Amino acid sequence: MRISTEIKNLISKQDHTFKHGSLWKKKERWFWLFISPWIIGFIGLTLGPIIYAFAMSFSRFRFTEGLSWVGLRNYQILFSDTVFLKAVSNTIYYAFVSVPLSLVFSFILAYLLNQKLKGITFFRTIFFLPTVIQGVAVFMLWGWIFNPRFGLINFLLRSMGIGNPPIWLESEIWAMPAIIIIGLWSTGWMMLVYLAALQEIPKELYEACQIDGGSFTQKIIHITLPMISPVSLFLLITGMISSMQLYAPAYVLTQGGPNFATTTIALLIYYSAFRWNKMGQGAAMAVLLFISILIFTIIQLVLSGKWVHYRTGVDE
Amino acid sequence: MRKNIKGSFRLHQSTTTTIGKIITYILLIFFSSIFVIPLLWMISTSLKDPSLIFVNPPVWIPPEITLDNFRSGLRLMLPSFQTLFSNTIIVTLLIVFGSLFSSSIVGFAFATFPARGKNILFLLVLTTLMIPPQVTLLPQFVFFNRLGWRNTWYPLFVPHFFAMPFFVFMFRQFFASIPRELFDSAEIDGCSPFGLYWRIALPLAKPAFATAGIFAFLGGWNDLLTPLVYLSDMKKFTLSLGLANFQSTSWTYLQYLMPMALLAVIPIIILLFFAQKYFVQGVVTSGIKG
Repeated sequence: MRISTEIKNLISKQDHTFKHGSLWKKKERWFWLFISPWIIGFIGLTLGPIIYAFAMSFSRFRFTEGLSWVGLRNYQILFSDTVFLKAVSNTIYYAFVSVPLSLVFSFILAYLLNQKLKGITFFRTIFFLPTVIQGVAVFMLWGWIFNPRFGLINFLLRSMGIGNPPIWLESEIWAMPAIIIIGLWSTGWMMLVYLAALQEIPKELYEACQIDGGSFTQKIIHITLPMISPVSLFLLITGMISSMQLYAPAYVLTQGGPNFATTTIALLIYYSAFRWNKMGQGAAMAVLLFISILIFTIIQLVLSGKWVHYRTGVDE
Repeated sequence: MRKNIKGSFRLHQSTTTTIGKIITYILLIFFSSIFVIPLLWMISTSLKDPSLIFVNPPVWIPPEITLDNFRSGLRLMLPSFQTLFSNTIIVTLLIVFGSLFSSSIVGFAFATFPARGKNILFLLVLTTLMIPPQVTLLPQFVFFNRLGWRNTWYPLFVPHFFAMPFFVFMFRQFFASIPRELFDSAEIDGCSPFGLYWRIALPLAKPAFATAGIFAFLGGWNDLLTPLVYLSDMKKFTLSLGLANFQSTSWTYLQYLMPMALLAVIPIIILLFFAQKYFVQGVVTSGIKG
């Protein structure tokens, strides 16, 4: 949210500090010196590699020979490869199910945390804990919880009368939902961003609604949700972007299986390039991923000025 | 008349809030249990005899607490947990140092020095936030491979010495909030531009450093992709790679996985409890994850 508003400011703002003179020139020299680490890094570790990735995607790559041009071959192979197509649909499945669910879930959590109650910071710590400890250890924990025979979840399901609970990570159908649940468990970033947004809503709006006899649901629908919609849009897009890069739980728990049911694009890039020695196809996938993320980013910048409800609109 | 309305309004409000409070507490406790139970389960599994792990219904509090799973897990793990732990500490500290130093100096320049095209450059910094690491991964691998950095720690931490865009953004926002007069008067007193950064800005920026430091620490501690791609010698593995390896090679020894995962998580939990303020600040001031 803050970053996209900052981007807008930068686009609209002129350089007011622009001056001539020797002192100014001297300072300008210092500016370039100070930002030189970033410039070197940007050219050497970001811009250069992106250009090289595009070149790799149109080439066959060998460590000994370097690049040899093959045109669109890598892309042609990809689009006739069932594993790649499956990875695309898995990635879309994950992004389109997990992100909306996380939005709803983290909004509920943030709403609860926004109440002025005793011990609320304790609950905030608890809610945030899983997000901080995310990583391989947490995936191991969930592997154990989803254990078909002795895991906690299936114990719970059996005690609720479900005699034949899913085998989760070992099942083609249930492996991806299991990974989505793991993601939901560590949704604390979204929750904190929502919490900050909720705290910025002016109290007078709720008071006015209260005096007009507005109910709890009316307050949520007419005040809370419109007021936080810019944040929701921001979280939706950034959530989409980061979920398109998911690989870690699938790598640790299922290695992309069973039968490629949890192979995502990011994981397939790793396998293609570093396990199956298909650097060109890996690069082609990375380029496609890059372009789709770019599209999402542009959509965010365009949309953030349109259908979302900014505070000025409410004040009028 | 007016008083009466106000009084009844308040009464009405307080009754709804008591019911509301109770409901809120019930929900808070319900959601807390979703977050806490898996962690308690991990602790419970780690501390009980293996014969009690594979039973239905599960045993929550074992009659006897045993550390055998820890001992056997530590013995089975290759390389040793201590090696993984110290490797991770070294790499992560280098990442924290490199990214904080480089990002703060770049952020300082963006906040204080005038320059032509500064805004466009800063826009570029923000744009690079959106670039997925998978795109630069393969070319960087080719590049670092040519430098002979395969199976070394250099690819893990050296890129962090070239300013991380997210931290540049954070530091720039922070330094921009420092009153300009402070820098102006120091300049009149003959302070050099580097002195402005080192002696004026840095001492004021402790909260920004704490926040960025924690983010950098977590990022380094949890990173799996970079070690996975570059490291092949087990002695150089980091904790996350070692754990992932342990998980895939010893999944039959389920009872040893949980104590190892628990050991990996404890430092992070301690960090959260001591520095929660900065976590929250980092997310709230920037509204984006790193």
